[in-house]
Amino acid sequence: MTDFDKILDDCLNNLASGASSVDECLLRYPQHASLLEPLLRTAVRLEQGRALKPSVAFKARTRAKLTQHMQANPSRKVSRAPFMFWKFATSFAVILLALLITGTAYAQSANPGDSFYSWKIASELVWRAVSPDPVRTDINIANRRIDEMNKFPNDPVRWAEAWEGYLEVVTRLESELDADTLKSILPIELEQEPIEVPQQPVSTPTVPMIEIPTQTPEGTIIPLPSLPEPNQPIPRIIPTIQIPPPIR
Amino acid sequence: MVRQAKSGDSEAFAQLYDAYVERVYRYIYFRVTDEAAAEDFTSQVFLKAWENLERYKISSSPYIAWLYTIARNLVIDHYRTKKETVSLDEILPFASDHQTPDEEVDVRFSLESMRDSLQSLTDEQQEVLILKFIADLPNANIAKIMNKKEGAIRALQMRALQTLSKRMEQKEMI
Repeated sequence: MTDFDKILDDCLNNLASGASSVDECLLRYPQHASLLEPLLRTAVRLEQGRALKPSVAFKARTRAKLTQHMQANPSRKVSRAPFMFWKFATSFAVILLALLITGTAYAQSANPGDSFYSWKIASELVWRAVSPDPVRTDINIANRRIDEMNKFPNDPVRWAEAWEGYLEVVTRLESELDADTLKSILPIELEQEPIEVPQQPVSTPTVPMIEIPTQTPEGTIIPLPSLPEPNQPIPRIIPTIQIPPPIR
Repeated sequence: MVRQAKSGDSEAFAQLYDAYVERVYRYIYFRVTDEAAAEDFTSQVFLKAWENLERYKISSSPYIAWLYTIARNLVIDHYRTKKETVSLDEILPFASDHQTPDEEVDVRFSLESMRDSLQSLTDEQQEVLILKFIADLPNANIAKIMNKKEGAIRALQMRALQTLSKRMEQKEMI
């Protein structure tokens, strides 16, 4: 912006606001007066155009036409609420899903007594519900409980919580065991090597032995793996071939 | 008021019409060549504004600037399809409802001469001068309406003012 541009701008602003007249501007900038004068007078001339008004008849006619048009075409007001609602709901759902996934993944390492343990139990129920092989899933869950019991041989509260969970799974398993299921798991059980369990020096709460009689296709009673004597780590149950958790 | 109108309140929109119709008309009057077209386009501006009110964002520009944008597009479309030339004798603007016949003739002549001079400029020059000096819009809003930067608007105003002043000097209007 040149000096002249600035001067012109200043004069135009003063004219528009009524702060000064054309002559006052010219007096203020005598060195630019010859160039400024026609421009300022043209601007003033143009501003006279503001006096132009449409006829009253036209205004009334158009207002009536507009009113009629508005009645015939009510505003197609697009409610932003549904859009905003869905935007918010989608964001919320995504955040919730992310939290659910993260929380569930984190909860898998929770132990009895941990705040996320109930989340772990809940996720196992979902896992079992959607699993194509609930028996195998229950066996896996039972193994988890055994692992948990083995982790806390000296903590009666945690041990008992894991034990209750184990009993629950075993009860479920008992109801699930039929001839076909046994057929599918027994061979593995029979092939499984007996696990050498060393004596633990620590004392664990006394737990009842569990022996679930099950009818095999041949009519023989086959007990489900029972708990070892107290003070002994508990081996995992069939048909998993995982190595039992480290014995403390 | 604009918010009310945007929510579908036709009475609020009618009040906006009352408030802005003269300014819209004035802008269109100096951009077209006859009063009938100015009136027709002015009504179209408000009909279009009502139909598209939901698109207007209050925070982006003043309502009047949005109306000028609609008016501008209508005028551009009009000239794109048909460039009319109507004798100024056919145009009967009324500067005031309370003028004597002599005053009215003077004002009419004055406005017609001004329009005549303005319309000898390029479209952009006409527009920038009308928006600046007749519509009394700040350069920032003019820049938005014309899709240009403020610096370009200032330069355009300067050139337009120089050209117009020469035409007006020739006609002894200034």
